[in-house]
Amino acid sequence: MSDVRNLSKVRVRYFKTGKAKYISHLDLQATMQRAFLRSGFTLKYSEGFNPHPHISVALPLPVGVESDCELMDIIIEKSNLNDKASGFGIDNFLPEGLTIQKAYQPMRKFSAIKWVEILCSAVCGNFGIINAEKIKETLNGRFGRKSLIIEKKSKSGIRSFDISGHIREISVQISKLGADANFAGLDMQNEKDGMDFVLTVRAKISAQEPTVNCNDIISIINLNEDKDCQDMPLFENFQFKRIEIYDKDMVLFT
Amino acid sequence: MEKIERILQKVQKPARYVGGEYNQTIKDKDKVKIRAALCFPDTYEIGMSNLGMRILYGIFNNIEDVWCERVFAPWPDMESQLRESNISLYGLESHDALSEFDIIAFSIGYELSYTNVLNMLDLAGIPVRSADRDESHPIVIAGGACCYNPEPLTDFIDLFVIGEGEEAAVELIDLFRSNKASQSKTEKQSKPNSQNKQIKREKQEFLKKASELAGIYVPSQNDVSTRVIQKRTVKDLDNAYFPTKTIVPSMSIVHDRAVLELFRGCIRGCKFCAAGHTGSPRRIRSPNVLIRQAMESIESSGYDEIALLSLSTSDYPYLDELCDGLLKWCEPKKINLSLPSLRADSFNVNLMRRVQSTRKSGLTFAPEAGTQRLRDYINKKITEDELLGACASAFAGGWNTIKLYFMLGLPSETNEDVTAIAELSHKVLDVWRDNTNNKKRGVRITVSTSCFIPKPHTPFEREPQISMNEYLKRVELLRKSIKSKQISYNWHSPEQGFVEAALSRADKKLGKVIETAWHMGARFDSWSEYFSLKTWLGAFSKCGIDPDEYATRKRTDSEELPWSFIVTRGACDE
Ligand code: SF4
Repeated sequence: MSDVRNLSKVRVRYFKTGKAKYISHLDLQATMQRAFLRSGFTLKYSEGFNPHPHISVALPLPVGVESDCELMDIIIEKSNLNDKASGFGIDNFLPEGLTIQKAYQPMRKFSAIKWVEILCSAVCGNFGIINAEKIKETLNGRFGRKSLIIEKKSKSGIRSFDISGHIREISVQISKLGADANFAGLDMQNEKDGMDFVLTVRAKISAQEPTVNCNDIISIINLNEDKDCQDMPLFENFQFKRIEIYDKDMVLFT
Repeated sequence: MEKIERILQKVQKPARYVGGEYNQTIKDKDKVKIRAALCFPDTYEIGMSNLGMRILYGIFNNIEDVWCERVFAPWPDMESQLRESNISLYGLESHDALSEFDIIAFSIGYELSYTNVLNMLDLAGIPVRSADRDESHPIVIAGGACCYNPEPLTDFIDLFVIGEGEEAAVELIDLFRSNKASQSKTEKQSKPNSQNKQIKREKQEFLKKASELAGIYVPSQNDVSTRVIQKRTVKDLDNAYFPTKTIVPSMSIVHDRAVLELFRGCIRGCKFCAAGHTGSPRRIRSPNVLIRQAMESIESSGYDEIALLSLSTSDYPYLDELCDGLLKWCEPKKINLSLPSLRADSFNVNLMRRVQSTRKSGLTFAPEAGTQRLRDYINKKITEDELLGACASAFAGGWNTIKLYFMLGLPSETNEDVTAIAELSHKVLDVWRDNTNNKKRGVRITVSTSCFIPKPHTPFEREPQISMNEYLKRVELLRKSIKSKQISYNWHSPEQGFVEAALSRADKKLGKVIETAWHMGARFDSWSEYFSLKTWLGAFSKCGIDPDEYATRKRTDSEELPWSFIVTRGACDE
C-alpha cells in the first residue's frame, strides 16, 4: 500500500460484503465520510451554501449485492493521522463488511469503466429430477444468441432491450448446495429435505452505456415463455457479487 | 443467518434488520451470564434516534457478564416475511431468537406503540400475556415515559421501571445475577427430580425481590392499593453515564447526528405537558462536561452535526458559555450545531445567527394558544410581544420560514381563543413585512394544530378531551379565519389523538382492548398510514368498553386515578 497521506485525491478500493451489502448507495457516502472523519482524516469540503465533502463512488451497487472491487474517490484536505494509524488505517473505523484493499492516486476517470465481472447464484425452486447438463446447455445457448430480447422496467414503463453483445465470457455451473464438486452432467434428484441445487453464472456484463443489471440476468435465467427447454426449472433466491471491473479493452480498471 | 438473508432480499430497507454497524457491541455468548434484549416498539430509524436506548445499551454492555442487543419493530413487509418463513424476531447483534434471552426490556415512549410491543413478543414466539408465560420464557420488563401510567400494560409486562432507568437497570442486573447464583446453589442441594420446581422459583424469586427495589413496579407482587411507587431520578448528571462512544448507523435515521443532553426536567410547568411534570426536578449538566462529551462524541462517531437536546434548550443557564465553547471547536472542523426547542420568549437572535450560520432551516415556535388569557391559564408564559419580537429578529436575520404550533381543545378554550390564532399569525406576517430585507423571496408561515390530549400527572389530568367533531369544528373556524395566502394551515387528524387520549389515562381494563386491537391487526398506530380508527373502535366495542369514558369524560376530584400510586414529583421539587 503506497503512502497516500499527502495526496489530495485518493482512490480507495474496498470490499463491500456480508452485512455491508445492505448499505444503500446513498447511505454509503455518509457512512464512508464518517469513517474517514473518525479515523482522523480531514476531508475537503465543497464551497457554498451547504458544504459537503467530495466523495464519489463508481458504479452504484444495488442493495443486497456484494462486491470485491468497489472504487471510491475522496479528496483529503490535509492529513492529521495519528500515530496509531498505519498506512491508510481506516479499517478499524468501518462497519462490518467494509474493508479497504488499497488506496492510491487515481490515473483514470470512472467513465472509462466498461465491463463488470459478476457472479450470480440461484437456487432451484422445483423438486424432482433435474438434468444439470441440459440446464447448462440451455442457458449457454440463451446467453450465446445473436439476439436476446428481454423486457426492462424503467420509470417510463416497460421496454424491450436486446441484451446480446452486452454480456461476455459466460460460464454456467450447477452444483449441490454446500457441495464443492461440480455435479453437472448427472441427473440429480432435488429432494425436499432442504438439499437444493445451486446455479452459478459467471459473466462480464456491460457496466455503463448500456447498463446491464442484475434483474436482466434474472430475466434471462427465468425466461419462462421461452420454448428452448421444456423442463427448465424456476430459479429463486438470486445472489449477486461483483468480482472485477475492466475498461473497454477488457483490461483491469484501477 | 441464511434463512434471514433470504427474506431480506424481499423487504424494503433491509439494513434495518442486520446490525453490523460501527461501534455495536459483540460479546462471546458462551462467556456472558446474562443476555438482555433492548426493544424499541417502532422502526430502527426512530429507535436508533432515541437517546434513552443508547444510554441503556451502553450501561448494560458496560457490565462485563451482560450482553445487550437491540431489537426494533419490523415494518409490516418484514413482519409478513418473518411469519411466512417461521423466523423468530431476533437480536440485531447475534441474530439469535428473542426467546434465548434472559431479559427483554422495552422502552416505551408513546401510547400508540403499545400494539407493537405485543406484536414483537408474538413475533418472538413469546405469549403476550404474563399469565401465559412460564419459567422458560424471558422476563419482560418495560420503562419509558408511558410507564408513568403502567396500568394498561400490566397484563403483558412482568416488571416496570418507573422514571429514569439507568441506575435501576444496574440494580436489576445485580439482582438477577445473585438470584440466579443462589437458586442454582439450592438446586444443586436438592434432589434432581425437583429441578423444574426450582427453576420455577428462580423467576418468581427474582420478581419478588425486584418488587422491593425503589421505582420498580411488579404487578404480580406489588399491592398498589397500599403502596406508592416513587419514580427514579438520576441526581448528578455530570457523573451519570453518557454514551459518547455509540453506534453509528449505516443508514440514515431520524436524528442522524451526535447529541448532547443539557439538562433533564423543565422549570416551566406548562399545565398540559407530561414531560415537564414527570421529569422534575431540573438537573443540569456542566458546560465543561458537555464540551468534553461533544468532542468525544464527534471524534468517535465522525458525525458533522451535534444537537443540543433538552426539553427547553433556552432555559439552560450557561447557554452562551456552552455555545461559545462548542463553536470554537466545531467551526474549524465544519461541524454544525443544531438547537431545537428554543423558546421564542428568550430567543437570542445573535446566538441563532451564529449557530445556524450554515443552515438557515426554518424556525419553530410553540405558543400553544392564541390568546394571552389562555396562554396564561395553561402556564405557557410567553407574551405576544416576546413572540413578535423574536419573529422580527428572525426575519431581519434572514429567516423566511416560521412554523407555529398550537393546540385546539385546551380546557376553557372559546371560539375567541381559536380565532386569535389566526390573528396572531397575521401579526407575524405584518412583522415579516416590516422587518425583512428581501420581500421578493416571500415568506412561509405555517400554522399547525393538534388536538389537546390530557395526560396523567399533569394539572390537566382530570380534564376532558374535546370530541373529534368539536375539534373539527374548531379547525374549520380557524381555517376560515386565516385569510392570507402566505399563511398555510395544517391540522392533525383528531383520530390518533382520541385513541392516544384513551390509552394515556387507561386503567387495567384497557389491556384487553389493546390486545383485541392487536388481534384485529392494529400495528404502528403512530404512523398515520397504518393507524385505523375503525380497528380501535371495533376493539373497544368488542370488549364492551366506551372509549369516551377514558378520552372525553371529566374526572371528578374525588375519583381515584389509575396512576395515583405512582409518585412523579422529584425529591427536590419546590
Ligand atoms: S411544554 Fe416545554 S417548556 Fe413547557 S413544561 Fe413542557 S417541556 Fe417545559
